[in-house]
Amino acid sequence: MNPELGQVALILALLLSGLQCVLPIIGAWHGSRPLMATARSLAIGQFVFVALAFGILMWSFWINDFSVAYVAQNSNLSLPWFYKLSAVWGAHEGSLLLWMLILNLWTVALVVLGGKLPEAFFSRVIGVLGFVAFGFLLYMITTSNPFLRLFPVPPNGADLNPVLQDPGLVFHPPTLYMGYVGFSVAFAFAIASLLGGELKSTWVRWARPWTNIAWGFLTLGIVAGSAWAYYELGWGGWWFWDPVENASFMPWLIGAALIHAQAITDKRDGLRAWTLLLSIFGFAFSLLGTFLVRSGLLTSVHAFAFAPARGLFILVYLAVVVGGSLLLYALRAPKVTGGKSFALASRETLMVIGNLMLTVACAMVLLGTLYPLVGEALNIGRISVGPPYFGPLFLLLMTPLVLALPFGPLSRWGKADLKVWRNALIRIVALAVVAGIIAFIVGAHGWYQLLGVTAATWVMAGVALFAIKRWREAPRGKRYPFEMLGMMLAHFGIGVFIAGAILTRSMSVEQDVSMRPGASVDVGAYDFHFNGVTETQGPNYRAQQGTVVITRNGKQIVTLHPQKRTYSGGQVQTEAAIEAGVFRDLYVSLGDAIGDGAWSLRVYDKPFVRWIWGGGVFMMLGGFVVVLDKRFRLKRAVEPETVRVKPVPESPRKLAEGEA
Amino acid sequence: MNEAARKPFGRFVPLIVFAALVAFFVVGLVWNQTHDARFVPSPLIDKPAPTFRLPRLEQPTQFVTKADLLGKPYLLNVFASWCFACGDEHPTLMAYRDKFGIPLIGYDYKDAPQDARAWLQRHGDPYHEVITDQSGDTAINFGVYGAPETYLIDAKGVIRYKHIGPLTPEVIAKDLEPKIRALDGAGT
Amino acid sequence: MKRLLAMLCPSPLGRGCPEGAGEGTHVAGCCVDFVPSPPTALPKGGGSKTEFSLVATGEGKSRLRHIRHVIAVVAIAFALALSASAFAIDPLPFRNNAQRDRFQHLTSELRCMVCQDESLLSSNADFAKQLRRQIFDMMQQGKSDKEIKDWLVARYSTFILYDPPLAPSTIALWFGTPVILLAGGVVVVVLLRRRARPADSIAEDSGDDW
Repeated sequence: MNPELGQVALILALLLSGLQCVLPIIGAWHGSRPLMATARSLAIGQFVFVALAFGILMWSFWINDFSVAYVAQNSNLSLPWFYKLSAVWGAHEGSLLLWMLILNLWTVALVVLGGKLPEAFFSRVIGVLGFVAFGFLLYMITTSNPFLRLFPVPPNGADLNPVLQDPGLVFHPPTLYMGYVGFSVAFAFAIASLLGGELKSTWVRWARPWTNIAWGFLTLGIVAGSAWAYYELGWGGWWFWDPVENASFMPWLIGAALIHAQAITDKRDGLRAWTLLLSIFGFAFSLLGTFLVRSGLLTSVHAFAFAPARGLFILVYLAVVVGGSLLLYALRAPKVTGGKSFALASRETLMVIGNLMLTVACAMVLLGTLYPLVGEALNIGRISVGPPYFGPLFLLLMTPLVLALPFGPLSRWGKADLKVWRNALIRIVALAVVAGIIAFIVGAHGWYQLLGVTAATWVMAGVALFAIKRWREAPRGKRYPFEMLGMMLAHFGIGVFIAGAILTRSMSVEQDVSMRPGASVDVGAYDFHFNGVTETQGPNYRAQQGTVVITRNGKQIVTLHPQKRTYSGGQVQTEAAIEAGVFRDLYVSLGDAIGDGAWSLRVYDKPFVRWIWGGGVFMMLGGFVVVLDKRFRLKRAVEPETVRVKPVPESPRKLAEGEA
Repeated sequence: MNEAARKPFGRFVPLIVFAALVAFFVVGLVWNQTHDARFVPSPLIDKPAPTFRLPRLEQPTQFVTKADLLGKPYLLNVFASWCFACGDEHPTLMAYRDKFGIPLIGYDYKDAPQDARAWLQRHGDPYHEVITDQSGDTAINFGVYGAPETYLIDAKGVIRYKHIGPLTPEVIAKDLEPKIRALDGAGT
Repeated sequence: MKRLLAMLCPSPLGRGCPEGAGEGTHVAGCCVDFVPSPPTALPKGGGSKTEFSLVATGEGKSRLRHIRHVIAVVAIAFALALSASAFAIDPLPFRNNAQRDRFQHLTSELRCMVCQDESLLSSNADFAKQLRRQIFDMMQQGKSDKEIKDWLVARYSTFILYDPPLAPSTIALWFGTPVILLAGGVVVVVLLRRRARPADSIAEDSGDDW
């Protein structure tokens, strides 16, 4: 299969996306059904060609076609087949193609599942997505073509970086992109509503399931990345506030805020303007993240392309898409006031506070991530902003949110029952204190550990209390609608996460030791016995493999085999050996031969580290479960309830903005 | 229509903030073209160079100290046989060794002396003198964190300029030579 | 030519070094923390290192440089194998747990100048190992955390600190967040004031069943 076909496919997709962003929107504006109907076919057509291009690239990897430069740069004859396939998204150009494919998957999902949306609205949504696709395809074709050829054809490629030869890296980018790109749907809904001048907020209800799923995937992607870093990089850390990590965390924070703002708008018709704004922000931060990691602007971004054209193009794209949206918002957003009123003590207030903290946290992360650039650009000296900045500030900002968390579900819309609050407060405080005391008795004496225990209990007790109250008060069969269940799962996940993050931080023990075969060291409650190092081999590497037996009170727990691999390309990679457990991880990394048969090793006892990702998984599940609620099932042929706010003279301006 | 009539300014705030952000990025991108973000300016500029006592590559039993080199300015070029960017820089050094007008001292960083000798033999020796720092401990006092790095030290032993990364004719013409001339002009 | 690490992954291992880059070599975006082994140790079937002429693009210059590096890799690899290994698990003789904790905390707040997206604690670079040793020695000499940090800043500038000091240049950084929080808080208060009605005037609304 000729790689040039891939280029052709991309160009055809570009043309289709161009039509996709113009025809349906004109159709909606004029009320022309034939034009609006083109939305579906154009979207599907674009998907077909993008999928074709992706398939061709994957096929090139599969058959080791090193005449394609991208394949030669990222693959190798001795690479295991599954890593050959994942190498498709192992570098800049291929990852952009993955981005496009996922955008198309979301669009096609909309086409298939959104059939009952009002025609005009639906057309606008597809049109906006077409505009997003157009820009991205243009970017790919002009600056980042994955199908460039290499001549003469090398007999073998450069190897895939061994760090990438790992299941985590196979899994992490696609899930992350499902999240990132998925926010474009909420974005498209928001823009479509602005374009159409909808007065009612029913569109928010339609947007909610899509937003929840995207956020769920993003959560999964971040969890996967964190877990991967933990076991692959050998120093036991799981989050470093690295700019690349921050780039994925910021949309996550906005997404979490958006989910809640959408709920208010959906159920109480409030915060309409804010929900619109957040929908724009969510996708904006996704694009911003994409920009940052490819612009070469951030020191620590081991990122792609430093070619200036690439950074500049994305910036222009970002400016047009987000700037255009914000302009549209400024001109067309509905009145800020409106919706059902609520008392100061109410669920709405609590959720607004939550929104505030999440948004400020996102701004804080943005500030810290960009600040080193400020230092350089304005020549005020080089500074580094790292965990000592982000950590404490994030903790401070999340504290009000965590404190308020149990009370949100317990409050009613409009007006909370203060008696309920008071009773809940007493119970939750009591449980948290009891948990703290138990922890103290069991041996947790550090104030940070106690904080972790009490905070986690605070949150989880809140969820439990709500669950019990609901069980008592709601009729059978209607106790836990899916929307509520999802909320409970996600909030519970927060509690689990808090426990994991704080307890791991405060209770981990890490030591670098040098040991001769036969020696042992005790770390925490465990004894690590070193039994020497042997040589072994893998598909494309040779390894020094250590044997470490871990015992506790004389009883053998596990035998671990940390490795130091030398790959066919010459790189040396350390593979840590981990004994994973629900309540603790035991972790061994092989260092160097010191001489006399002695080796240096790093050994860890990391309690509760899995709870970090477990919490994230609960949050993800929560996001997915919400979608099952029957509230979100569209009834047959929803008729447009929209009322045009003003006539459509804006057309020239709209066209100029490129939004229509 | 009331909605259209009353447009609070607040609605434009996000757009304005975003526009500022984009402007900021543009500045950043432009800056990025001319600077390498990894290269950190030295805090030792215009401060005295650290005292040192390092063996000569040619004759390891003989030592060179900071005091030995006082009296006239010199260039200290940190290099190593394992550093391939030093290989990139090497032809430039060979071409300019006499054009600088001041001695070019090689500082062999974290290198086995025999490797350094072999490297210089193979590629040519642009240095008037080479001192070795096998452990790299003295280099820390200079703020060295990789190779190649080049220091311009004046006659009184004060660091006047540092360049990180390979020296190129452009850098020499634009930054280094003016600084050298300034030293001569000031009579130091 | 090794492409840099795949997107968006929170990996602090910067790559993008031309092959055979020696550790600590100043190349943009290059953070070497592995040591290529001598060729004799390589398993068979991996394919020999090939030079291939590359389609000249805007990046042609760096690619041509790559070819020279491919040639040079053997010599450099051998030299590197003789020098200290790059993966630096560092057994240091701490007197007690408290001292070790202090060391780990201190080095986690300092930046590795070579692999600039890693802390001194976690970096595998030889430079980091050397500085860790230096810091350990200073701790043994009784120096305080502040003295150690000052000592490092004097040599490497504030860049080496991950905790940006409170200085005129970082005022926006440290006060930016409280300012944003305040601004947001004001907006929220205004919103709540405008919207919220006295509790008794709001009808009991069970909203959406929950």
